[in-house]
Amino acid sequence: MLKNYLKIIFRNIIQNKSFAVLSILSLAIAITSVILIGTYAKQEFSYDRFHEKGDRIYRLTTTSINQDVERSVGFVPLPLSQHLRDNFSTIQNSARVWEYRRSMPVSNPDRDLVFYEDDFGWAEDTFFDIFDYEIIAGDKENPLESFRSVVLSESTAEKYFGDENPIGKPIYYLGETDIPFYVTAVMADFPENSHFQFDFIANIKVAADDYWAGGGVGQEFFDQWVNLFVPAYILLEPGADISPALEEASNLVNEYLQVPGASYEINAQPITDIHLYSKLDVGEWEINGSVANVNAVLIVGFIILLLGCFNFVNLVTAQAGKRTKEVGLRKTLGGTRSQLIIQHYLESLLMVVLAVIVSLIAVELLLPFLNNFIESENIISLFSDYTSLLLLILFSVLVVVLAGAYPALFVSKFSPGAVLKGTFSGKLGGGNLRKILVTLQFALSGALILSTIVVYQQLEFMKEKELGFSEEQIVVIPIHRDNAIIPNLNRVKEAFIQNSNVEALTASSHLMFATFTYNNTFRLLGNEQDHRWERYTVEGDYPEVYDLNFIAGRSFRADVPADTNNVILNERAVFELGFTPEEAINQVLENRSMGTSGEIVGVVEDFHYQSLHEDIQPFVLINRPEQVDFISVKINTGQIASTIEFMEQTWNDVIPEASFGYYFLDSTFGALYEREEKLGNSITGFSMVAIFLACLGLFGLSLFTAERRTKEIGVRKVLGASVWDIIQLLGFDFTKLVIIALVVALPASYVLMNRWLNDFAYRIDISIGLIIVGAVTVLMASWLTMSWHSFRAANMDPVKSLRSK
Amino acid sequence: MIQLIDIDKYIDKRFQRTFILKRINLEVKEGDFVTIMGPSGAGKSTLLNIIGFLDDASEGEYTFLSKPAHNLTEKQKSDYHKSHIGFVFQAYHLIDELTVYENIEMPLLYRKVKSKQRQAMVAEMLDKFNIVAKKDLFPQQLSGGQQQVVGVARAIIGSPKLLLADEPTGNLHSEQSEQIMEIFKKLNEDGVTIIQVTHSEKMVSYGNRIINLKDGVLVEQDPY
Repeated sequence: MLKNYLKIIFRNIIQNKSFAVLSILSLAIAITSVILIGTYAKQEFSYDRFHEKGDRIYRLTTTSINQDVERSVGFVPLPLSQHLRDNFSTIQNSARVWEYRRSMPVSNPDRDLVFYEDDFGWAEDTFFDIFDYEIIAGDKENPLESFRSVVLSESTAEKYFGDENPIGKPIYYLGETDIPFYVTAVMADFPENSHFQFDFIANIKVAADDYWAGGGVGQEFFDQWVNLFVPAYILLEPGADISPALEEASNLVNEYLQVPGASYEINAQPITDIHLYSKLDVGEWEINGSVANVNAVLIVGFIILLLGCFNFVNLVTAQAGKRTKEVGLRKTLGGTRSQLIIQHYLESLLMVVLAVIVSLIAVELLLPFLNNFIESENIISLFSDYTSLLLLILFSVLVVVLAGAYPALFVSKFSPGAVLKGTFSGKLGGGNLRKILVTLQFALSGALILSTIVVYQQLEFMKEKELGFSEEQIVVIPIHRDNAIIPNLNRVKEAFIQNSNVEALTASSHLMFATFTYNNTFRLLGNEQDHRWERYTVEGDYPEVYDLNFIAGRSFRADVPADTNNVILNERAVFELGFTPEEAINQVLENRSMGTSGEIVGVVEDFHYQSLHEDIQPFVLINRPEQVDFISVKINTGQIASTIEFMEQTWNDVIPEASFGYYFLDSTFGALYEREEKLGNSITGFSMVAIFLACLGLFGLSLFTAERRTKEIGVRKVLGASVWDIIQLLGFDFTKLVIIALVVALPASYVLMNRWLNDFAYRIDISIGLIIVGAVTVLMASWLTMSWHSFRAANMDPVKSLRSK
Repeated sequence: MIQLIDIDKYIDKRFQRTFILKRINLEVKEGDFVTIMGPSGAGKSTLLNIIGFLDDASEGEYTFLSKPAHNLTEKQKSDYHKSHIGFVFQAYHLIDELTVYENIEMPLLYRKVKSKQRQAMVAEMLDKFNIVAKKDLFPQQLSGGQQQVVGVARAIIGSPKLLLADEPTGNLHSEQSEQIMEIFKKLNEDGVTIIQVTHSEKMVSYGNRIINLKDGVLVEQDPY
């Protein structure tokens, strides 16, 4: 009997190739998309879950409220975490982690290899007790115990030492101080799904001796509450309540900082939430993911899944209408209803299995592209664990049950008498079901298309937005605060400006759009109020190179040493001081973090030094040409290649001991919106898949309708209907459905996308025009799909179609 | 074999009840060859469907092989279909995706006949109706008459006691019709009870009893 069923199923598939291919293809596309999306989402949700104690690890953050402006940073006062561990039994352990700066020049013992390292971290010796980063060689117990210890990642160890055993050997940091660190252990490379990435972890105690406050305070610096904020992590006892500790911490910080008009709050973020949920103003280790974006893609995946299943159900049920005769006949031969139900389920099972096989092959082929998209080389395969596999099987069963349900339960029910007599009209019901499904499909794809347009418009908007400074034509030369370069900065400058294609040159501690900036505590001379503001230290020509717009005062005077330590504020900072721009000029601003003070010489218009996700904050430029990490050169766009060649040559002449590297500032700018660009690309890709699926569904349905109405069309043509009349007749029904779909979908997606846009401090408005574009796209796609069958049906020879019955 | 007492079949619509069959009393004995006649819409097919358990009567009593049969479950119906009743249709209703051989074999699958025995039984049928050469063809490759021969072969392969035929020759020309009727006659002589619905006076002559239906009422029984 099974053989008989299979025979019929396969012969049916072969006879109705187009239907079979359409339905299997729809389902396969849907399953493929869902597996890909699922894999991506799984990667995003897996961040920091590899720590065995991950559910008990928290990062401490500080939120300051100053004149209703709330700012959160990923740092807390230096002694805080230790204090909490000492005083609260609920806190099992704590670790301070610090990053001095990016681009640390580091060399091997022979000093013949120098690399600029971005992922050089400093941590307490508790680091490896809290976090599960595997030590694969060396001291596994306490690698950070000795003072000048450093742990290297596996790939870094290989980079510096090749095949040699690195344990016990020194590496050198060639910055301000030329000091050795001794490798005590090698750790496995950090997994991609860790919210921070370190290639080096050095003992943080060295920082107190060598860097903090110029090394003058030494280990006692760890007891100073006001001077340095660092990232800190705590490990909670199982089941413990963290809130009393946080309350105490907030009280302590308010007590120590004593800022009139401002209050502080210490919060704790579960480490597993950092990647997707953390939105600190300052102090993230890397550009985080966004749960909203992951959810958006998941929703799109779900929509595609629905569309694919709808298609499958639609096409299978449409086909079932043709099988009524067989069903009736089988009943007269003694087939029971349950046997018929089994037969139909078997059929849908077979189709689903085929679709799953096709999609597994597709996933295999597409996975490299996904890896590229997530920028992860060793992505966790969705099938590496049983849950995902089980999900796929469950899902397949669900589709089998759903798609098989209509033919199995409905078709098997009707009276064989009527079917076999030939009086059966062929109207099987289910027509409404199919119409509803097609309408839903178009509603969903309409919504997706509008969303795509909105995402792209917002991206464009962000790229085109006036930033308040000029980022074009700027070449960046990283100098890593190299002792060889900074004293020679003026010589480089003079040499470069000789070339007429170099317009100007300056240097700064940060680049525009830097994610990692410094906050300093500022105070107006003679005033008690502290302000924690972001600042760049810059060389005097900075405002000129970046074309900042002055509204009061003047720029720095690069050639006047007396101008050193003077500052330029943005509008927002002046506002916070309670001055007009003119009043602010010549006031003296103390920098309590750096221990300097200087006159306010100018006020500039607010400019977007961060991405447009962020509001502009009070901002200070400090004239300190010796504290810089990047040279910015403004060049003419005419002969870029030759200008850069000139710069490299000149550089090598002036400071032959330092290497020359460069990149364009525009490229940093592009990276700012990478997240949105990715979202845009994935949503576009998937909404194309969605509209394709919807059209496939419509294609199948119109094929079905055209087939069913062959006779009617024949009769109409005999009675004098033109081809155009017939096309209208067939098209109108569907157009009605599509329009209903759009009426439902567009307002819904309008509301949704407005919510998405609210995430941006600077955003577009969704105009009627955009909505019309979305609607027209969907309508055009649907008309194109329908027209093929309609046209064919309308052009059929009526004699043929009438004789066939 | 079959006894119908006061069988009604009607459709209720709003406030109106439309009768398709009304107060049908009919007895069919084993070995009868009954012809049901009557104009279009008289209820001939409905009567046949009720007898063959393809449709239920609205009211009345039906006794099949001395057992009450007006309230059968799906299971009981399909058991009767498997073992006692064969159907022949005007439009043949062969399954397009199956070959001649497979079509004839199908009832045996439902009766769970062993593979070896199935082969023997189908071979016998093919032989009996002279269609051995056509066993691997699909229905579309056959003429109407040949298709109906296959239809009959399929109907009787399970050796039913009762053969129900709804205008079996309706789509055939006279020569083919005669062939089919000859087969029926032979089956009847072998002891199969046959009830057929037909328009054609010519086909009546093969039977031994005529029933006339008009507007759902039995107007004349003609046992000669």
